[in-house]
Amino acid sequence: MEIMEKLRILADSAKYDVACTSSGVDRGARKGMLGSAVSCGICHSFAADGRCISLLKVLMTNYCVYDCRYCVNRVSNDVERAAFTPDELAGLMIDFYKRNYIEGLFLSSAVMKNPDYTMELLYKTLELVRTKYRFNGYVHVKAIPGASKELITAVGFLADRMSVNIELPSSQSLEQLAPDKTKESILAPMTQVKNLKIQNKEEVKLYRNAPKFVPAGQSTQLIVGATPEPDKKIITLAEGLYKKFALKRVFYSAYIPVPKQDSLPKVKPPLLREHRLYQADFLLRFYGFAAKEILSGESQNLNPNMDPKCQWAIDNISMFPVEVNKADYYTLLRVPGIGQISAKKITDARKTGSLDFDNLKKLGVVLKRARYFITCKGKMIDKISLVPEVLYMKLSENKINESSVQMSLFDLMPQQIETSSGGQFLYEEKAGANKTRHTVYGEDSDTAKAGLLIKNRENDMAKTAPLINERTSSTAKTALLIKEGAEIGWIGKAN
Amino acid sequence: MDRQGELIVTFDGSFDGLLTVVYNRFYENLRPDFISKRGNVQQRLDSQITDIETDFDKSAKVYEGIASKISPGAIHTVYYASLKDDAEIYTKIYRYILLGFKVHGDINNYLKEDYVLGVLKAAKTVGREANFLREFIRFKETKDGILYGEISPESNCLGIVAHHFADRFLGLKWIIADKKRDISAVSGGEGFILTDDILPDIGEFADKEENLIALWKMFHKTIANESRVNPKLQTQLLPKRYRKHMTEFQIDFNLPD
Ligand code: SF4
Repeated sequence: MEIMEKLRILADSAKYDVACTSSGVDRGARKGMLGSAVSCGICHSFAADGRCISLLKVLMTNYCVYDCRYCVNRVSNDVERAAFTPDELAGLMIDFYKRNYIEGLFLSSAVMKNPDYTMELLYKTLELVRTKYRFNGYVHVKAIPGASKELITAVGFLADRMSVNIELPSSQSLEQLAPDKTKESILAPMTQVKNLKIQNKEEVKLYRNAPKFVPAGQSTQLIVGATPEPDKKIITLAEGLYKKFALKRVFYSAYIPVPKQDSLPKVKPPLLREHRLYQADFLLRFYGFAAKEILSGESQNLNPNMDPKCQWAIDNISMFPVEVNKADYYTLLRVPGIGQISAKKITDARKTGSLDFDNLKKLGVVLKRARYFITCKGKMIDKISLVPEVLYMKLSENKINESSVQMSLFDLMPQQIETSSGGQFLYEEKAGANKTRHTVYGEDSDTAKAGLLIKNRENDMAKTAPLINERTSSTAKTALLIKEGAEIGWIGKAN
Repeated sequence: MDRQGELIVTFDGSFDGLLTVVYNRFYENLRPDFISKRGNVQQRLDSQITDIETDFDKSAKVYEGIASKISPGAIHTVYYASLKDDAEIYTKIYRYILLGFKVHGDINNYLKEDYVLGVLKAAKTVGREANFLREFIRFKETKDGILYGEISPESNCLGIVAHHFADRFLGLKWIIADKKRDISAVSGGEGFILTDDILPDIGEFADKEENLIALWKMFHKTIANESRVNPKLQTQLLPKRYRKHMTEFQIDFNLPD
């Protein structure tokens, strides 16, 4: 078979693997060797789906003896099959590298014949890459569950990163959809890699030139949406994996339905859900959040309409607003819209004098979301009430009528008229039966709608809303909302 | 002395030239209101122009002064900023360095000064473009085994890009040509030189090049998930202006669709 054909087939079957970043090691050039690795990773191109192309991501082979039901390459599926020889693949990869197409290799494989046979193919390829071509750049390789310890160790000394896919978020799901794999066969290499890495660290300390075992650590990947586990379960699992196996990354892959498979539900890939999971994962890794904080309430799933940090802030509104000139770095990090870079900029810049909102803007701090949660010198940017419902409307990424949750609330309102005049939005509702008219004003249509929403909510809902206090003294417009709210008895008094 | 109007100082546009201008501020009491690349300035009636010759001994002194009195990072910042294609930038850098000598390592916290912010932003823009290029430049191998790549960047960041490849392609022969400025970086395996000489003909590309390009294009196409196609995101991450020199975005006119 032509190498072109092989590449087409084996790149195609590798594309569902998302764990493709080149990062985690910094290795300058060495004389007599080809290439280098940069720890922040380098993307060399972007594919039509907007994902970064950094590594030559291919399968060694897609011939498989296993029958995982979510996978195109399962033995029972009728697909084109191909296998690279180690020589072909190593040569191709080096040629691509020299043209600056790629940053390195990401090599995975289906299980050809048996796990050891497959792992040996991977080993031979990496050996060529490292010794014949003396390649000094980045290589990420998959460990095949069930392969012998010796092979996994040998491959680990040639690779920068190794990963074992956890595949599915629970062992029941695994049993159901990947009958040839078990929790044990997946966790065994993970444990081995973790232990070897600890051992290797000691060796490297003693002998500076000792070969390094997976210097960029290990990662894993799981499929989201093929099985019924809720986000809460997934985030908690991820937290456990980070802690137990010292994983560098957990990757989430929205399940893309494979055609001709009846036992699986036909769904569109849950991309939004995947996106929210990555945001939650980020909170775990970089923002000091615990899994149980991210989904603290009843809800088992992340809110699709709002990033999890925003949701957390609204749920914990009593902690806000924070004063930009006083709050420490970690408190700033918890403000929606303020990331690590902005938090650092703020703590640095305020050393030379206290900051106001204009200073923040100049620093490049994006206030779109942060404005609702911060004060500068004791003042908010404009008078905003910290009512969760209002914030929710403002910060929700979905417009009201696109959201089914909110739809149900608006079912109460048979007729709505939205007008705006003089920069002010007027939002009117005529309730069907008794023809009472509520008119609400707001600075913009969202506030107005939110006001209306609040009015229409039942009393017990309103009680859960934190009380408004003087620090958020209202403008005439919000005052109207509050006054009307007080009249119908849904809002508490200032404390 | 009674000076009429503002003083404009011109120099050759090089980093060393700019540092020489700073040197003259301290040792010749030459206080420019505006600094410009030679030939880029139009004299106004009320302004006077002084031209400064680049002097490497003088620039070296200022270089060390910046590294020790401000911070080693400040050298990096002003160097990157000076590569920006922007007529105002030299004056801003000059003022940035002067303030830096006063406030030392705290300089980057003086963001309330527009020129400090301007310099930092420029450095970032240049750095970002250099990063883009380091990722997106494509090479082809000639029959003689030279890797040849072309760019046409907005800022003058060939040097930064070449620096990256001096490391990455250690031991290989390579050339990067800036087609916009007609300058090139050339390496024979170790280090590189920047030159505005016209390069000798590099000869034909190797036979396997065509096949490799086809393989790469196929990989690029195949690896995208149809169910995730997102051209808006792709454009945001990989601005169209960089695609000109990228193999995978060059259209094959002889291939059927
Ligand atoms: S082992 Fe399972 S997931 Fe891996 S290629 Fe084979 S069928 Fe697919």
